[in-house]
Amino acid sequence: MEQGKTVDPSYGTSCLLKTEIKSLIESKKLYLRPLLDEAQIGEIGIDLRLGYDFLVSIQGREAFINASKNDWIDGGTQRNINQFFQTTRRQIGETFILHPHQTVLAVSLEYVRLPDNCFMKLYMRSSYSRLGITISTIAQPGYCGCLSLELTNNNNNPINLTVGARIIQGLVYRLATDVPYFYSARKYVCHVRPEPSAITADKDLIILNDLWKENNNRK
Amino acid sequence: MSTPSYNLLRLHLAQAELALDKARNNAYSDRRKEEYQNKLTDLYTAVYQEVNKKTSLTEADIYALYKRHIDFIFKSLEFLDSSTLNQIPYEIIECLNYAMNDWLGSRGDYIIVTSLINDVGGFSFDPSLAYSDALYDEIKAKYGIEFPQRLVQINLPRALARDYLASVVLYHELGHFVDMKFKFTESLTRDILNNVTEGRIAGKDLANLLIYFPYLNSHVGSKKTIPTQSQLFIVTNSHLAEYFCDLFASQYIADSSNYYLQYITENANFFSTSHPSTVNRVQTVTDFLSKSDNIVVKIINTAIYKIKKENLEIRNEAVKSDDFFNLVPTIIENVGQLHGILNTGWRVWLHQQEQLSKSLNDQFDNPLRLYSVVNNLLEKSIGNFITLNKWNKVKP
Repeated sequence: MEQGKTVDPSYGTSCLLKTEIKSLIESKKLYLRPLLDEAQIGEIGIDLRLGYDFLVSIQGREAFINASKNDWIDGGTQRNINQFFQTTRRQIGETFILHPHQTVLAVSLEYVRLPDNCFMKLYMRSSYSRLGITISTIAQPGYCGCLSLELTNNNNNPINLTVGARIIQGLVYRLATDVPYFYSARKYVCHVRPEPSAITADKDLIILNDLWKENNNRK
Repeated sequence: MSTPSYNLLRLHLAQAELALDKARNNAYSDRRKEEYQNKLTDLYTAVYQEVNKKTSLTEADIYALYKRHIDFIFKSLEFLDSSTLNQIPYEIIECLNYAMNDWLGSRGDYIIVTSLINDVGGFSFDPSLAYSDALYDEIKAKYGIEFPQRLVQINLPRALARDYLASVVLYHELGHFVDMKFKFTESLTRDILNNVTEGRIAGKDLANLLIYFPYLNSHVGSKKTIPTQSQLFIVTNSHLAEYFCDLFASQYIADSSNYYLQYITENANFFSTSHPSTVNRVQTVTDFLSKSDNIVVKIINTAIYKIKKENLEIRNEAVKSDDFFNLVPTIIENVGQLHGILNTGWRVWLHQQEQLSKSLNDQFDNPLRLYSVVNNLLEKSIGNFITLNKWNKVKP
């Protein structure tokens, strides 16, 4: 943003409209592949489909997922978070049962590349929210890959989902300036299958763990 | 009846029942595999009933019949178990299906199945089931059980099951299946050896032939008939088959497999009893792709035409797009490009890593990250083509 230039107050607060989204796609600033149906682009957002790869949480032999760098608590045997998930695939049109209170990592069928000046907020489509499925995800400006969908079923009943169904709505917001995705180190790049959390790669956790060691004479 | 061999047969039956039971919940990408597995269960039941109702079994019955039939169940399951949707490298197998259909039509008589093995160099074609017509006929005659399809068994390394660069080797392995199906090189071997020993090939053609089959030099004009079981026949046949498979693969993936071949064989300039020298193999493919004269291409094309009235041809289309450098999958527009995208992946890996790394703001200048990006973009490009095809077939 040029210094002194007035910023449109709607930047980052109002989502792009259909014509703007289509214009970004045509100008190859926004990519959605595959786009099975043009009607996925709605008046204020994009309907995204459930992809065919899943990571399903399972109970393994480890007592808990250690989302810290504290290796005292698990006896120094921190397991790869992959160990707590099982991969499974479906074909488009097949179904996948989401059990109550289970965490499932899925991806959008569409591979998305956002412009450097746009981010995307993801919401369940209303019909799926009403079934009790929640999601909480944001895609950073310039993000490239299938969108990670962390699905949780808050209903008391299992829900059978169709692979390829439009379950997510993505709202695109424009920023006043470019925020290129690769200006900072990224853990998730060009992924096409669900990836488990890379939480232990957070450098902050090392500092916090050192702090804990300091406080507890563990150095 | 309780002889040791009978009890061993019962052990074999129990093992088969357990294996079938474990496979019962296999979810396949292709309904034909499920139907095939159901036939295996029918076969098991039939063998079990026969063995139980007989009051006496000869050793010949046990070994020549029932043991072989149970072995067949195990061999089939070995590949079916590794061919579930969760395990099979679905995207690359779909590419191979298109290539197979080019040669066999799309009647669906053959199902490509894979076995994931713990050997990083373990790419191979296992012909044990695709051509066991006698065994299938025997099962049909004895138990009335007919298998409508045959399995095309391809082994690949478990560690490389999702490696779209190394996977180009699978086209070569599919070539073995096609070659054996039409007996291209089997018939050609006899012709070549006869022509050499009878002195019917001479001059420049002979000189060129000896470059690719140097061990034939001492047999030129010998007037001796080379027996089919002789080592010379077997080696020549094996070398011709390898040349054929290299050429078969290059129709689809151009020179992609040359790179990998050169690396894993350290570009060997010597032949073994099973394989020609890498230098000769690479030259053959290079000549075919550049449409240069090459005696191996010429004789193999002649053999193919004689049997199938077809020729080797370029069956892939180069994908001209900067999509990978924009970090997005490519839109594949036709089957030719579906094969061609694998060559694109190789081109990026061999010659454009720096450009790709630049797209990632140079922060991922490490092989694993680039390898993941290339693999992911290849997988999604192929996957999107398959998805769109399915969608367009059924959409109103």
